[in-house]
Amino acid sequence: MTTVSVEGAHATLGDFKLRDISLNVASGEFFVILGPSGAGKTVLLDLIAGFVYPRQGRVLFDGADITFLPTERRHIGYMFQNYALFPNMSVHKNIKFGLRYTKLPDHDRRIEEIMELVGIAKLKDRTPTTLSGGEQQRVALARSLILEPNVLLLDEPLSALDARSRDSVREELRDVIDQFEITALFVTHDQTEARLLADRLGVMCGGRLIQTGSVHQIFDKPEDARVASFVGMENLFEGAVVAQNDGIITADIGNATIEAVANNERGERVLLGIRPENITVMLEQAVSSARNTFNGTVKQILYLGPINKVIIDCGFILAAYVTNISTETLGLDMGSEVSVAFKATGVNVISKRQQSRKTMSR
Amino acid sequence: MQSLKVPRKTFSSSRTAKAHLPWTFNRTIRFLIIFLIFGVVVAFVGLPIVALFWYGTPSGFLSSFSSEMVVEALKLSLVTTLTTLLIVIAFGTPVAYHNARHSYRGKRIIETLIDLPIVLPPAVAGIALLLAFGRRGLLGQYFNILGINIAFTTTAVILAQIFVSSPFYIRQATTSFEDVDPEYERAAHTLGASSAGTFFRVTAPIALNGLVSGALMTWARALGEFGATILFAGNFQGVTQTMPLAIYSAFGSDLDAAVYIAIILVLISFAVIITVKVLALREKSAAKDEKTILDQIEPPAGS
Repeated sequence: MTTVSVEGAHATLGDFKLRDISLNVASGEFFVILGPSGAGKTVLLDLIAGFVYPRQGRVLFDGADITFLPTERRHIGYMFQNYALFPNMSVHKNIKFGLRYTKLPDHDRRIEEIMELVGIAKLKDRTPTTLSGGEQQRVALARSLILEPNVLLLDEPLSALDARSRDSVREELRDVIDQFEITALFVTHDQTEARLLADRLGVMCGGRLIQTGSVHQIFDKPEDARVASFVGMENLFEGAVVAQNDGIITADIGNATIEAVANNERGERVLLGIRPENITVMLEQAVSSARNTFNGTVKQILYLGPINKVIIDCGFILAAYVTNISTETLGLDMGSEVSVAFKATGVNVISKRQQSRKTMSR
Repeated sequence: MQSLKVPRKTFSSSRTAKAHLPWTFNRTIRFLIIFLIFGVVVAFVGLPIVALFWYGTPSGFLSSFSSEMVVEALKLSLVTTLTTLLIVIAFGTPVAYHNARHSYRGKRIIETLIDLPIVLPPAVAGIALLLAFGRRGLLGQYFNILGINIAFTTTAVILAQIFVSSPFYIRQATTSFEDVDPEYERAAHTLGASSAGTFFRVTAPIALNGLVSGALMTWARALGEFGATILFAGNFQGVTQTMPLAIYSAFGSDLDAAVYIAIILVLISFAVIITVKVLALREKSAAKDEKTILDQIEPPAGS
């Protein structure tokens, strides 16, 4: 197992840029790099793989500087988006490919074991072009893992799969990687995938790593407006703190005031974020522990499936998630008069001062 | 009837969704015109080939192998063209690979220079080679001081062949390398393969069909080389008289020998062009396989 560190790296690959990336991934950790397309996620992976060298900064494995070490000497595994199985070789030969460069004994036994483990034993003599996406993915995983790499890099390996097989393949992938106790860096733009897989994750945007932390920290306590909106914190309001009382602030957002659990000082500019799933929609104002209650009108209902997104105008626009059943029970429709409530703990506060300092350093 | 289908297809594709047009006078005329044009094109290429075989007899063909001139020309052609091929592959492959993978200043100029011999008249190539490597040539004068003479030797034959035939391999090899997704090479590196290991185990095997086609085209062009050779290397039996030159020499005295050498060359040409077509077809169907099968979710096992 290996720790992976990136220190102040700047790199360019075509149109993509990395700016001042610093990152520490612990030994055996499953680290997810999340971000929209074009954020430079793959460049970061390529930097760690040695496909790209940084203009500035360093890459370290277990504290040793490997910034300019050729890829073939880094002992890494890399899962490509399209798997990159060699089309001129059978499945068996693909898996065998890297063994001659290692000192590992018992090649034949190893190949059999790994094929058994990832469930591709019967595909031994097939050529990669005749395999389904899921099968190719397993072969690629076996081809990497058989070499017992220090680090496994995965570049959106599930994106080429159809929705049906993605769930099962994701579970298998995580299981197999856990068995090998390997440090993994997994790139994705899919927040559900990130939530389900990550031990810890980092959010990238515009070539920068904006925030790293646990799933809870990223999804519930984003420290940046871009992270907040990317992880689905859809209700974002700018405001100023008008009162501070025992760890609860009152912020004026223009048409209303919102209370939140935070320690910001009076007069401070803040960004308030509320996840749509943390908002309760009712027909009448009920007595509850929620500190924030508003009356409003339903502007729009988006039928997303089991859960609907309801857009409510209560002086300001709020998006809330309501289950299908509740939508029916409440008889929600366009123009319905409703009451909404959310707790002070359900409001994430991002200090604008912190924000502007970050913006300036760019 | 087979040939009738070709012009008919042209009709229906030029007018969409009118498969059952009635045979109007206009349509008949157009059909006849296209049929005629096709006939002329096919006959123009085919007739001379037929004429060659028409002239010779199988026994005459076999007995031509007892002629010293024919045998020596055949031997010389094989030795020189195979040497040419080896040299072109050895020097052309790195150039093609580098051009396929990297862009650099002056790449366009270098590529144009590499392609130039394709359009350059062979006679011009011959004169140019003579002025470069001849006894008083730009570089040749220094070789001459060292006692090395290039012009009018077998070496000159090989140089002339390399000059005119190398673009065919380099062009094709460049395209074939470009078609190999660099991701395969990256994958090989992550699995521990060095650059050389990656090239010989991954890149070259994937590009193999194209490389073989290019090599065959170069070989065929070298085999047919005449103009540059006769000017730069002369026409000495056993030394510089390759098969095309032998045809030229025999033409005045022994038409039979000329024809039989020509037949040998035609047969080789056919073999080359058919092989190249088959390789291209295989490439195409492999690419198609890849696409259609990737679209499937779960293909049947053991297919």
